[in-house]
Amino acid sequence: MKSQRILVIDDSEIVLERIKMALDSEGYDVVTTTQPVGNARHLRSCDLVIIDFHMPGIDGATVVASLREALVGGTRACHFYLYTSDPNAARAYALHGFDGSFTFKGDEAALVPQVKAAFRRVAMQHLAQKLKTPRG
Amino acid sequence: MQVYEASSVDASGARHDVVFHKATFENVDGSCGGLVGAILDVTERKAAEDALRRSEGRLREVFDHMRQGILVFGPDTLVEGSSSRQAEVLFGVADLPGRRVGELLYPERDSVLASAFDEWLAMAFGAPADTWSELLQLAPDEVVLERESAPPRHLTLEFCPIVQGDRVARVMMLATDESEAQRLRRAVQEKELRHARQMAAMRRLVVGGGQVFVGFLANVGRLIARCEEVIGATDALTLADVNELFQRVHTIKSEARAFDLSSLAEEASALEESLAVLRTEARGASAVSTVNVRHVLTARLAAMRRAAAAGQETFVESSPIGRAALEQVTVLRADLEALRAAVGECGDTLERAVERLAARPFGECTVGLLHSVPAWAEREGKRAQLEVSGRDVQVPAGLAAALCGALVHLARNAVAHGIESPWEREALGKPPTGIVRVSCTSTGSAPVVSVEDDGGGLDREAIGARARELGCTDEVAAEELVFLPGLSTAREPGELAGRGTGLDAVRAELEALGYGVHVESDRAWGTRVSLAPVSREGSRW
Repeated sequence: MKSQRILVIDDSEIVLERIKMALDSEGYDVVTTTQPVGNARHLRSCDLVIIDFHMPGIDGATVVASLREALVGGTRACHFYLYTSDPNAARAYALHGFDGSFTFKGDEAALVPQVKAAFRRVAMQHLAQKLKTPRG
Repeated sequence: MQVYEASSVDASGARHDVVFHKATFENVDGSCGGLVGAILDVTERKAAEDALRRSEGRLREVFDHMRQGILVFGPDTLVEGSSSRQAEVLFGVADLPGRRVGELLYPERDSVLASAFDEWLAMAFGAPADTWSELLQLAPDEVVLERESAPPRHLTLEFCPIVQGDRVARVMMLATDESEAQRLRRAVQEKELRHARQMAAMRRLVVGGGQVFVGFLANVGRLIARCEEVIGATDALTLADVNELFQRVHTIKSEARAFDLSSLAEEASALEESLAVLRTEARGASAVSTVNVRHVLTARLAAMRRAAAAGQETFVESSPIGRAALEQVTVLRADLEALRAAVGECGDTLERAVERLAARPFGECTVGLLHSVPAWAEREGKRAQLEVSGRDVQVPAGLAAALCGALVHLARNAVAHGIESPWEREALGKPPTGIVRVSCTSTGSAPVVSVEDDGGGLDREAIGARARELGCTDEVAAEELVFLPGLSTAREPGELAGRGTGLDAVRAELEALGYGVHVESDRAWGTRVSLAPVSREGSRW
C-alpha cells in the first residue's frame, strides 16, 4: 500500500529532522522544508501538511492561506494541521484556516498518535461518504 | 393475595422448593368467607437460578482476573454496569458505570485524538453492522493515559460489537496495559533515536567544520541579546514586539531541545508562558506595560544565558581538544593559497607540508550530495540514495575545490539519466531505490574518485542520435560522446537534466589538475565515471 505523504513546515531544521525521524519510523513518507512559502511543488502529492504556528516573520495562518491558494484546482485532498505547544492556538485552529491541530510540540512521541488520528478522521469521512451512496 | 416461599420435604424425603399463593374471600357482610391457596413446586426453577448465579459468579471472577480491563457501552457512550475490576484499575476510576468512554480515554477534549474517537463512536453505532470490519480499521488501537505522580499508562485497545438486528447495539472494549512493554520499546527506540541523532549531529558537525554547536550557542546569544534589546527599549510592548519575542524564544526552545539542553529549553518554555500572558493582554490594547514584569522577563533571559553557558562548558568538557573547539574556525582558502604561494620558493618539504595542511577530507566534497541525491530523485519521481566511501581520504585542496562541483554534476547526471523510475526498476527485478555510489581511494600518490550508479547505463542509441543532430558524424563511442558540448538526451531541459553543458567543462577543469575523466557503462550494472590522475607527474601532492 502506498504510504501517506506528509509535508512538515518549520523554521528549524533540527526540529524538522526529529519530526521526520519519528514519522519515518511509522512508515509515513515525510517531506520537510524550512521555507514557509513557495511549496506548491511539494503539495502536489501530499495528504497532510503540518505547519509550525510560530515562525519568524510569518505566522502559520498566512502560510496555510497561501498553500490553500496554491492548491486551488488540485485533485488531491490535502489537510492542513497546525503544530503548536500553545493550547490556546491549538483550540483556535479553525479561525486560522486549519483543518485541525496537533499539540505538545517538541514531543515527537506524542505527535505520532495525533497524526494517526488525523488520518483516521480522513478515512472516516471517506467511509461516511461511501455509506451514503446506495448499495447496489 | 400473599405469596410465601418455603421448602418442604415429601414422603420420600426429597426436598422441594415451593411458592405458596394465598388469598381470602369475603362474605356479603364482610366477614371472612374462606381461604384459597395454591402451591407451586419451583424446585427446578430454583436449581436453575442457583446454577445461573454460580455461573455468573464464576464468570465475574474470570472477568475480574483478566489482564484486560473490560467495559461495555451503548450508543449513549456511557459505560454500563458490567465493567471489570481491572478496567477500574486501568482507568483509575472507582465508579466506571455512567462515565463517558470518550472522556475516560481522552480527558483532553480539544484534541484531534478525542475528535477522531468521538467521530468513530458516532459511526460505529450509526452504520450497518456489516461494515464493522471497515470501522474497526478506523478505531484507535492504543491510548496513553497521563497520570498524576505516576508514569503514563499505555493501553492497547480492542473493540468488539454486540449486534442486535443489523445494528451495533453495544460495544465491548478491552484495554490491555502495555506500559512495561511500551516502556521497553520506547527505551530501545529512544536509544536508536539518540544514536541517529548523534550521527546526524556528527554529520552536521562535519558539514559545519565542527562549528554547528558553537554556531548554535552564538545564535542563542544573539537571540537573547535581541530580546533584551526589545524589552529594555521601552516600558510598553506592542503586540508585534511580544510576537517577535515569542518567536525568538520559541526558536531557542526548539533548538535547545534538539541539542538536549533541557535546562535552556525549560527556561525558554517558562519565558514563553510569561510572554503568552503578555500577548493576551496586548491583543486587547495598542501596547502593554512591562513595568511590573520587566524584572521577571530579564531574569528569565539571564537564566537562559546561564543555561547556554553551562551547555557550552559541557561541550568544552566533552571535546577532545577542549576549549580550542570553541575557537576552531574554518581556514579561508584564500589565506591558504597565499601561504602556499609564499612558501613555494622556500623548498619542497615546506611546500608539501602546506599542501597537506590545505588538504581536505573527501567527505567534505560530498556534503552537498547527502540530502540532494534523494531530493533530486524525488523531483524526478524516482528514488535514490547516496553511498559514500573513503570519506577520510585526504584530497589536495585544488582537487577538493574542483570535486565539489564535479561530484554534484556527476551525481545529478546519475539521478537524471541513470537511475530508473521505481516501477521500471521493479520490473527489472531491482530494488525500487537506486544507488549512487561516490568513492575515493588513495593510491599513494593521488586519490582516485568514482561516481557510479546502478541504473540502466548509457542510452547509446539516444546519445548517438543526438550527437548526429549536433553534426558529429564520426564513429565515436557513447562513453566519449557524453563529453560533447551541448549533448543532452533529455527531451526538455529541466531542473536536473540540463542542456548538455557541464560534463565537458568538468573534464576540462579536472584535466587542468592532471586528472582524466573516464566513463564506463553497461545496461546490466549501470554507469561509472572515474576521475584518476593522468600520470604521477601530472598530479600534485
